[in-house]
Formats: sequence, C-alpha cells, structure tokens
Amino acid sequence: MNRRIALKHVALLAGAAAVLPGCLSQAEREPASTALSASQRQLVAEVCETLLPRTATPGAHDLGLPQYVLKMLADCTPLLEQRIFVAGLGQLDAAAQRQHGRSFGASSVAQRAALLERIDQQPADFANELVGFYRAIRQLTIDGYTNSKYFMTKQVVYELVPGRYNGYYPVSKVDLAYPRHGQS
Amino acid sequence: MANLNIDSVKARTFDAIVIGSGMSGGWAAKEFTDKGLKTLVVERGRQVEHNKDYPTTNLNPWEFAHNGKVPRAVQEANPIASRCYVFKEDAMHFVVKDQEHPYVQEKPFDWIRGYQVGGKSLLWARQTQRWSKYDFEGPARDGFAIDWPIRYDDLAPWYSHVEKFAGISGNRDGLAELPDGEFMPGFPLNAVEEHFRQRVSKSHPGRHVISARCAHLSQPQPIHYEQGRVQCQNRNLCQRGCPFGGYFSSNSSTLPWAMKSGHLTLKPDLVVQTILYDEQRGRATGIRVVDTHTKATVEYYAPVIFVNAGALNTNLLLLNSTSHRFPTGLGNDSGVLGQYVAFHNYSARVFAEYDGLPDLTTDGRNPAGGGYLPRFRNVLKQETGFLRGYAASFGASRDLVQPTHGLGASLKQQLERPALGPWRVHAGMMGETIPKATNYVRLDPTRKDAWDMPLLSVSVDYDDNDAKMKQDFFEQFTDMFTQAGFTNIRPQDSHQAPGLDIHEMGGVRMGHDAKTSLLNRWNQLHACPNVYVTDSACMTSTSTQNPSLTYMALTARAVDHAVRELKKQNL
Repeated sequence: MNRRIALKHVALLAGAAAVLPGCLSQAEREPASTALSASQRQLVAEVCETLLPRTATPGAHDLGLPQYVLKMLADCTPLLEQRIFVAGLGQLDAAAQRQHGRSFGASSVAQRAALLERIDQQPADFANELVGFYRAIRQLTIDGYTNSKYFMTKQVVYELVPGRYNGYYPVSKVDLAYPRHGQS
Repeated sequence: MANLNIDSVKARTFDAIVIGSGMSGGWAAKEFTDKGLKTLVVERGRQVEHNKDYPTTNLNPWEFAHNGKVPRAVQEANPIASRCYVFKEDAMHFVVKDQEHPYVQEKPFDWIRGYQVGGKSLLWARQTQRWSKYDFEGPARDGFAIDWPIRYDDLAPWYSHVEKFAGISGNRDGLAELPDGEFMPGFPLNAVEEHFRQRVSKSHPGRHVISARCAHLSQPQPIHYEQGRVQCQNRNLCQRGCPFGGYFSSNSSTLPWAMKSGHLTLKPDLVVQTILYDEQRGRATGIRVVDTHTKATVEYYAPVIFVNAGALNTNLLLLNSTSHRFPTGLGNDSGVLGQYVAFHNYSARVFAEYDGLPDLTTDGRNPAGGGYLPRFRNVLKQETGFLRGYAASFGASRDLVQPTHGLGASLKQQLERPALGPWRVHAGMMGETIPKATNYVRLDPTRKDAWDMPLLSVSVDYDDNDAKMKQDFFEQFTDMFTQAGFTNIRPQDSHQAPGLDIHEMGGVRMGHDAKTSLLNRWNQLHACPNVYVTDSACMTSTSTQNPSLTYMALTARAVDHAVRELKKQNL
C-alpha cells in the first residue's frame, strides 16, 4: 500500500467516524461477553471450579456457577468491566504458560490454584486486565455460591417467613455453623 | 336510539367518582361505599389484585433470574426509576418506567411513580406518625406559606378512624409533638436502639427515641380478620405485596372492602384527561377518560368527584381541566395552582458502629425498621438559624459477615462459617421543606404524552433553609452518636434530587382564603365545591412526618363531609 492510498484510508475512516458516530458507538455498546467462544466458556468454568472446588460439599460445577457468572456478566455487568473481563480471560493461558509451561486447561488442579493464588497475592506481577478478570470472576462466583439454593438451605439458612423478632437475642444462641438469615 | 343513549348515560352515572386507587383513593372508595354510595374508581394503571397479581411475593432469593439485581439494560433505560430503593428485581414491575411516562425536569427531580391499582400503597415504607398541633400551627407561627384552615383537633377523630381500620402498631409515648393513636403493640427497640434511647434522654433532655409507628398488624383485631388480613410475619418483603395482608395497602384493605359492599365499580387502564365543568350550574359534572389501550374516550358522571391521582398528577389534571370559567385550570381563581410544591429532605444520613453489647444480637426481622426521633428543633419556639426542623429514623443491626481471602477449599470454609459483625447504626433525616411559589409544576406548552395529556414540567429545588437544616442534622447526630459511645461516625450527604423522597406535596393547597389557596377546610375547591382533593396535593405545609396517614384521615373526613353535603343538596 503506497502512502497516498494509506492516507486516503485514514481520511475515509475519520470521515466515517465523523458521519456515523452512532455506528461506532453501537459496536462499542455490544456486550463483549455475548461473543465468548465455547473454549472461553470452558475456561471460565475451569476458573470457577478452581475458586470453589468440589470438596465434601458441592463445587462450582455442581451448582451451575459458571452459567451464573456468564449470565450476570452479560446481563448485569457494566460494559467497561465486561471488556476488561474478556481481555483478562484472554491473557490467562499465556500467564499459565509462563508459570507452568502449559495452558490453564492443560495445567493440573494444583497448578491452576497456584496461578490464581499468585494473581490474588501478587497482582503487581500481572497485567491489569488479568487482575481485573480474576477479581470479577471471583466475586461473581462467590455471589453465585452464597445465593444458590444449596447454600441458602444447607449452609446459611434463608427464612422467607421468620414470623418473629427478638431485639435481645443472645449471641451464645447463634449457631454460626448453621445460622439462619433471620438472625443477624 | 334516544333511549339507548339515555341508558348509556345512566350506566355511566354514579353517586361519586374517585380518580386514583392509591393510598387516598382507596380510602375514598371505602368511605363512600360504606355509606352506600354507588362509587366509580378510575385508575390509570393496570389491575393489581391482592395476592393474584404479586408475582414475586413467595420467591426465594435463588429463584430470581439475576440474584435480585436489575439487569443493566433496564437500568440504562430507567435512570430515574433506578435511583429508587424499591426498584429491584423483586418489585420493579410496580414502578413506572422512565420512557413510558416522560415528564420535563426544569430542575433535577426524580419523580417515582406506581401506576397500577393500589398505586404506591403497595410500595410505601409504612411509617405512620400523626401530625401534632405544632405542625398545623407551623406556617402561621413562623410566617411561611399560608395558615392551615384546620388544626390537629379537626383531624384527631379521623386519625383514630383510619388507624383502627388500617392497623397501626406503636407505643403510647405521651409526646405532645407526636400524638398517640389507636395502637396495636409496637415493635420493640432492639438492645442498641434502647441503649441510644437511654443515652439521648440523658445527654439531650427533651429528645425522644421511640419505636417507629407503622401500618403492620402486630396484633390483628376482628376488623382486620374481616378484611382477610392476618398478623404480620416479619418477612420485610412488603414491596412485593404481602400474602398475609400484614401491612396496609389499598390492594389488601380498602379496595377489596369496598368491592365487598357491592357499591364499587373499579376501572383500571383509564387516564382521566379532564374534569367536566358545567358553566351554567357552576359545578363539575363528571370526567372524560381515555382508555390506555384502545385510546377511546368516554365520559362518566357523578354529583361529586374526588381527585386522588397522586400529588403531581392531581396538579396535572386540574391544570388540564380548563373551561371558559377556569381558563388556567379548574378552581384556579387564585393563580397559585401548581405552586408551593414541597417535599421532605431525605438527603442526609449518619452511619456509625458500636462496640458495646457484643453479647446480644437480633433474631427475626423488624418491619417497623427500628426507632424514630420526632422533631426536636423549633418545636415550641424558633431557636435555630433555620425554620422548622427534621424527624429522623434510627436503626441498629448486626450482619453476618464473610470476610474472605484466597480461593479453593479454604474460601468455601470461610463462606460457610460467617462471623457476626459489629453493631452498625444509622440515622436518616426527614426534613421539612418550606413551600414557595418558585417551586412549581406547570403544563409543558407543546409536548404531550401517548394519551394526549400535556407533559408535566417540574421546577422544584432545595433552598438555603434546607442546607442549614442538613448541617444541623449532621452536627446534632454526630454529637448524639458520640455521647452514646458510637464510633467511626460518618455523615453522608446523598446529594439526591428532590422527588426521590417520594413525599412530594402541595400545588393545590388548602387555606382560608380563595385568593391564596385552592381548597377550603373540607378539601373542596373554593370555586367548585363538588370537587374534593384529598391526596398529597392538598398539603399547605409538609411537616416532618411520613404523610400517608394524614392523607387517609383527610380523605375519610372529606368523604363524610361530602355525603352530608349531598344529603343537604349543597353540591
């Protein structure tokens, strides 16, 4: 491409931007998360399971948390944060390569946890987008977990109809291993 | 054909018409039908039948699509509604969407509306404090607005009347500035709220922390069971509509009661465009409505009309009801229709923590919300650099906290074993604002909505008195909190626009004199006495109390008057 044609392209682009600002902003307004590929969604699921793995109790996969994260990302997350999420997700495999010489998906469970621990503990070592992605998916996964039917019926019991109020309830009577939402 | 027309007019003629089915319209319907009058209630919004139309009322948190949050697209399309605390996934279907019902903001004003049968009575915060004599005497004593044409004693029996039926919980506190009413047992203060009450009574004699009085059935009486309502079950999910009828709403109480009488005709989905006026007789004859779906217009007739459309919409309707006799709006001989709009200043809060009483917490939920401090500034005489004063809410609670770090199995364990956080306390200001001619609503000269009604243009703002009062609130509560031993005291100015308090009032104020007011002491238009306005538009001043109880009492009193006047053929 010679210089004259290149300049013409620049001028055309500038003109289009000036004439059709709505088109450009429309593209920008498209939620980035709706364009996630199957492999990216798989990666999200692997991160969720690393954050809250199955132990003696159900983990992220068992509770459908990856689907929750993707839905809340697409429906309720500001667009700028969505773009950071997707950009950071895209950097995860490269970070895993540097750390363990293999992609996140090909890493062992321990290696996945070690990488996320490092992002958690030493964020300065990683790109802003990757740290932003980690913090966002961690919070969404926690929200999905603590809002799940499992958690709200088996761990911290939600009461739709408490039918009582006591303003002088002894703390000694609160069972923190099995607290009820009416108690706080 | 002629007979058909006569039959049709007859079918569209009632003993009374009530415009609006919210807090005050529901009461007008109940009172008229109790007295045997064939009553038409028209409502601009859709039908919301008790229980049948509360789609979210029994949903558990995990059954909502978005964990209770409002999807981003809905938020972006509704910046005004999104600022309202009830606009969440569980109740957003009861709040008007910005674009469906546009209005003009000459100054920032968040107009929060509930267009459905029951109106905002489904969504209200259910606080019910009587006004005192000091409130009705306020404008005359302090020289603002105009004198109220009624006093506390005029309204006291009607407060009792509505309290018994609606069901109010509260304690008999014996305070002149907040008269006692017909109460079921109050919801108790918790340990820290009681601690604050005791400290304040010593550090600031004359200031009282009481249990907030609210429209919840703490101990239902036969009259409530007769309405099909039972004891409040402490769900605190009221904004969804209550399957127990545990709190008062038009939907659970007045409207089904009126329907049971057989005298009520309830027509939703009708916007009233104008009140019809007979120039010869000097009386209103009926209303013209437009069907919100078909856009067809039809007229209804009655010898008496109650306007209960909700403060600003009542202004809009009267401004739009023009005739040869009333070129600037029905009853507007004074020229002050739409002016002297006021509200409550809710823009200030103070937060803090308390290290004491660590061995106590709460169990269950308190629908009253906690404590209430009646106005203590300028009650008996002017004593500060600003006019009037503020009441305040006060509440204390402890949360389960899950301070988390890291990930994996240890994160799960942290989440499963929450700790009990510290006591957190908060106070919220409810400030009286001064009605002024410069705070007004008017019709937009050109733009109309989808139902051919002019858009309402709103010009309402805070003033210097509000700023001084807010500063005093911050200072006084910082002092009271400090002396109560609270720590980490944080005053917070929300900078919210007027309107978000959802206590807009006035524009069609009551007064002695037809030259400076619209309504007389019975809420009749001075110049068209068979039209009554008994919703928040009638308010001459705002005082500091949550106002709904006063609208209910004014409405019941006005219906009683109207029926007596009808019998005497004075209307």
